[in-house]
Amino acid sequence: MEEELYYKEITPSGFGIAIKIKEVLFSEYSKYQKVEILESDSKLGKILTLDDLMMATEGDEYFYHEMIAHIPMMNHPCPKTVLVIGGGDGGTVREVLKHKTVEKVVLCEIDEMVIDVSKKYLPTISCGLDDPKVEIKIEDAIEYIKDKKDMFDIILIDSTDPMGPGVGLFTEEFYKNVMDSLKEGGIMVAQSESPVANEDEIKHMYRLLKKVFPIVSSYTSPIPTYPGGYWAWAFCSKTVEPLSYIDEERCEEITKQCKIYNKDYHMARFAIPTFLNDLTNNLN
Amino acid sequence: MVDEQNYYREITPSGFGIAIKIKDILFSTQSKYQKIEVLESESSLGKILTLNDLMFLTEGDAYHYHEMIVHVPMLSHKNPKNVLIIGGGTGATAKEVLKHKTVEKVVVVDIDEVVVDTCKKYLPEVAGCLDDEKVTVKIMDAFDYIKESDINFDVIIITSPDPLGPGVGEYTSEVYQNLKRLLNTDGIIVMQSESPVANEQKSKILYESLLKNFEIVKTYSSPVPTYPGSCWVWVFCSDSVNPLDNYDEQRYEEITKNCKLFTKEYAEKRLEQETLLDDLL
Repeated sequence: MEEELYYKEITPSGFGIAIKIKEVLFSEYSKYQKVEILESDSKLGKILTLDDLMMATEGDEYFYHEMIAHIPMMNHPCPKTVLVIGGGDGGTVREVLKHKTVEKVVLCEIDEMVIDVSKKYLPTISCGLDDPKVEIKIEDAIEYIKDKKDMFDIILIDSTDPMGPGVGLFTEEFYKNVMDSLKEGGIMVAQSESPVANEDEIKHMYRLLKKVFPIVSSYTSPIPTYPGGYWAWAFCSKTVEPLSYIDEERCEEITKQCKIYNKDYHMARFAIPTFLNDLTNNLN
Repeated sequence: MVDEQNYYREITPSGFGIAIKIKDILFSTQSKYQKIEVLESESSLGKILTLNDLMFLTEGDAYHYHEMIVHVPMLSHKNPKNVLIIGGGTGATAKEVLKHKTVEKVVVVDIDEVVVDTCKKYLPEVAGCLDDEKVTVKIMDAFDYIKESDINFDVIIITSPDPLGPGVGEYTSEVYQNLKRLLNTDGIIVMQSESPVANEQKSKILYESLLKNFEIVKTYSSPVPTYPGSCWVWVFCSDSVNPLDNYDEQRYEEITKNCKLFTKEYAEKRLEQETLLDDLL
């Protein structure tokens, strides 16, 4: 934070965001990272940053959380068991719980401070974390996943960027373990950075994913407060192709509870721009 | 504005904002109409044009905006020959229009000669096309141009924020009458309609007036990384042509080859996903 109180974040490729800040509500170093809660002076509300990187604003977090959760959840005929890796702010868990089929959500977050701070300062995001269906594991997902064979219908990797504590979540071995933790017909979705701002990271990640998963696709959606303005997620599975299944009734149910998600929007996500197609497919 | 630490910073009243690290201010002037600046970023974004301290384009990501505003209407028209670009003094829109081989005449109207000269000097990759023999640049008020011109256009692209009146959505019926007079019966008008997250109210006023004046009004959106709020919306208007009508495989292939973003599927899905207009009205 600088004196004039603008939160600024610029990627090495030059894309950047700026948000006017009224106050720093919380700033501490956990065992793993710097955790801050900022109060913006606009409808973006309160903001969570980790190691000075934007995680979520109250005002636009649904752009990210609806997209990471509902695209894979809706592509599964009956998602009952869900694992969320990272995602300590609770936004992804909140979206997952909108699906009535869900019986159990495990949130595996390495940093307890993220959960505590989100519960205290970001109640509209973290509200699902106290739900009886949710089990919170404060541990390293790399270890947690190792002995969980055939346990989950959906696994969502809601990690930080491939640096800092999240770096081990971008390895071939980890992806292999994630795939083995999926049940038959299971789907894994991982956040895969900005298509415009993180070209090298995207290439690296998709190269690894394609070594492990038979099916790897990319989908995108705008995120107003991430540098570069939009985001890509990797949709991966042993057997399930994206857009291969959608239940109209469940879709309507979820759409009613969402600000951006709807069927047409869902169907449009996998039509990706030419340059991203090149990035994720020409990986020699 | 460029702050003391050399960041170009732009924040909308709704709170969304961008920041770009700047190496140098290459040019800064106040024309008769506006403040014009060319900034040199220190990244792949290259040079940046701002008008009245608002982001207009960066060399690095201009294609996100211009491929979308141009190729959707151009490919929806079966044979676009004459194209009018209102507020296109940078040349970025004309550059995309000229990728279409059917095009015979492009009229670019911009009120501010300093924008045209500045872009030719500092952004030749973008503005060089303004010297193409198919292109005529008219330095005048677009309001007067559409009143006086007697050319029939196949496609009219309104690319600047508020070229025809006090602001987007506040066009008078005289403006609509003149636009329609210039437009061929199977013609198409496309205009930008701001960021849906940052300017909801403005967008609503615009859509309401468009629906009163055109049979077919469709919005589509795509991200523009260096605009605050990042999602951007364009409106497609016509009395007889629907978006992506008149499919011609060869033309699509040709354009797709020359684009970084645009594909038929990408455009199609951007149009289908759009429930924004319905929601706003």
